[in-house]
Amino acid sequence: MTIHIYSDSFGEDYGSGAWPAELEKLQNQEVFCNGKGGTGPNWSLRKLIRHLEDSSDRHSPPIKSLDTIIVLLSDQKRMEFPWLDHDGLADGIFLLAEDIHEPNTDAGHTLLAHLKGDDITEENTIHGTENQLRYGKYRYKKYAPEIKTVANTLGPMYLYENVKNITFLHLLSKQFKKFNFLVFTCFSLDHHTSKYKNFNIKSTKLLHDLDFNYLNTPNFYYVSIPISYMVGKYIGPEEFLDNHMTVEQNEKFALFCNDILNNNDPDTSWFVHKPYDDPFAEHQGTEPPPPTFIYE
Amino acid sequence: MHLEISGDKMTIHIFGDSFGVDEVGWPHQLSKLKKEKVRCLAEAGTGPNDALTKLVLQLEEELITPYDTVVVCLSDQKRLNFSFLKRKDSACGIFQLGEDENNHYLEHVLDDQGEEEIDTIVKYSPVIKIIAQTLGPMFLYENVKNITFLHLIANNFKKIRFIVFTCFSLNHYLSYYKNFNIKSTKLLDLLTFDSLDIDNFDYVKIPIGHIVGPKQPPRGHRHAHLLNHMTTEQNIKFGQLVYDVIMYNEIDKSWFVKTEPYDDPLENCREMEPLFIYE
Repeated sequence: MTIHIYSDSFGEDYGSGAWPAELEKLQNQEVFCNGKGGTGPNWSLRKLIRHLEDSSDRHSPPIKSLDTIIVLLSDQKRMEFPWLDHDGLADGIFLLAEDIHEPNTDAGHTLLAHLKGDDITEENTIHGTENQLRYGKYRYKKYAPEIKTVANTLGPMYLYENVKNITFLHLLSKQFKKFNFLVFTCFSLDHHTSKYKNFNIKSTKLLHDLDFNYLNTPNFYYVSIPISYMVGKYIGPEEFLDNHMTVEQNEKFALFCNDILNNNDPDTSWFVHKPYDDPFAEHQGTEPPPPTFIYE
Repeated sequence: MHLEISGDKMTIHIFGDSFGVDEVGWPHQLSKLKKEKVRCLAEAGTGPNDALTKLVLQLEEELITPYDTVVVCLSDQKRLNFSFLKRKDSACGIFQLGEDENNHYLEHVLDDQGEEEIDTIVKYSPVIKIIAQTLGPMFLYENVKNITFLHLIANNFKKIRFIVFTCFSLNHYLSYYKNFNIKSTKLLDLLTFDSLDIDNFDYVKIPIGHIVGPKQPPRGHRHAHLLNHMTTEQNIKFGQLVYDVIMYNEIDKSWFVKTEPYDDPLENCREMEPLFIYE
């Protein structure tokens, strides 16, 4: 049996010490990571559908009966704009069309620095090309009118995009009863989307009142607490991996997944409840905590 | 256990496109059968996002209350509320403008819209292309996701009865649009929705357009169609059908068209999709 992971950076393959490798040991199954930093839910779901439709993808093992599919849904705002230089650059783009990212505040300046990226020097071009591409978003500022039209056109229902992704995955689990589905979101379901004026969202009341418990069935489990609230923003001496978790958090997160897959009550005592946020959202303040996680 | 229906204060709320408008059509018939007031919030030419935005607002403001019924007619997902349109009811066919081939938009809208407005819309063709490319292949599943979202809503509002239709097929030619870059419809074609049917939620799998058939009556027949693309007789029968679904009765399928579906005039540049066979 194989565990297939579809995700952004939280589920990318960072080798030994990262939670997929730990889960591989705990479950005694091969784990295959289809995660990529900076990508969004459409990128992950597109890949999952391709694998469900065609088991002959030479880059990935086929999904077979009794396999497990773990989906980590990233921020819905990470859309696949066709002019992005690569598909890992999707975060922060909608900010370029908002007025909120250039106020005369420290947070505004910090965000602007993130969007603009580091200065391009010979040294960091050689050693940090990926970093440059990752954070140098200001090059896309010229597309701001298009980005604004996309946001305006998607409109208020876009607040529910990840809710729809979760319910869509639930439908897939009914279709593929021999696969186990474990679904997380990386950030909250809103994740500041309601603060973006271009989406014209008047209220988040229904979103906050939604209860997802009925979705949980023998082959489907949605974890209602986002991963970012489990691992928090790490400030301390210990190093963390590129999946935003310390080595210890990676171990605990692997155990958490393992417990749910084994129908055991998972340990949540290590959750920090203060979210890690992506650099493009930090200026917007901390989001309210999600509902308390109770395993049923 | 079925929902207990009692009292005279219950209301049927209808959301959707042209198939849901016209209170003297099937909504009127449904109101008579159910002996309940009907509120038509459907608007011709609009898409699912418009209908669902209204539904969410109505739920948030508690304008839909326990024991009410919600009927949603999900239109073509390609009908987005494009911000550059002066009228949101003119969302049909806009994505054709972004296509390099099979762009028949102008042939169909010249009679309906002013030249100035059309010129404005045409200027947005490059942006329309970008919107389609950005939405990408997952947009094929937009109405599937809308249905599952409504299922979640139904599970959160257990005392409200939800009936969901789509107006067209779930694909409705979307996979022909090159800008969405859809490589396969295999999974969509395989999907079944039976697992969604619960006490207060029913998704009727045959699209309304496939129930009522083409707007032009067959030669020799002189049925007048109302604004909702149905003849008076079809409106009566469709009202009965919705009533039967609400009441968990067996539905009468004998009147469903057996030739071809009603189709959006803006899509008739392609071979018509096959008629959905109701089992």
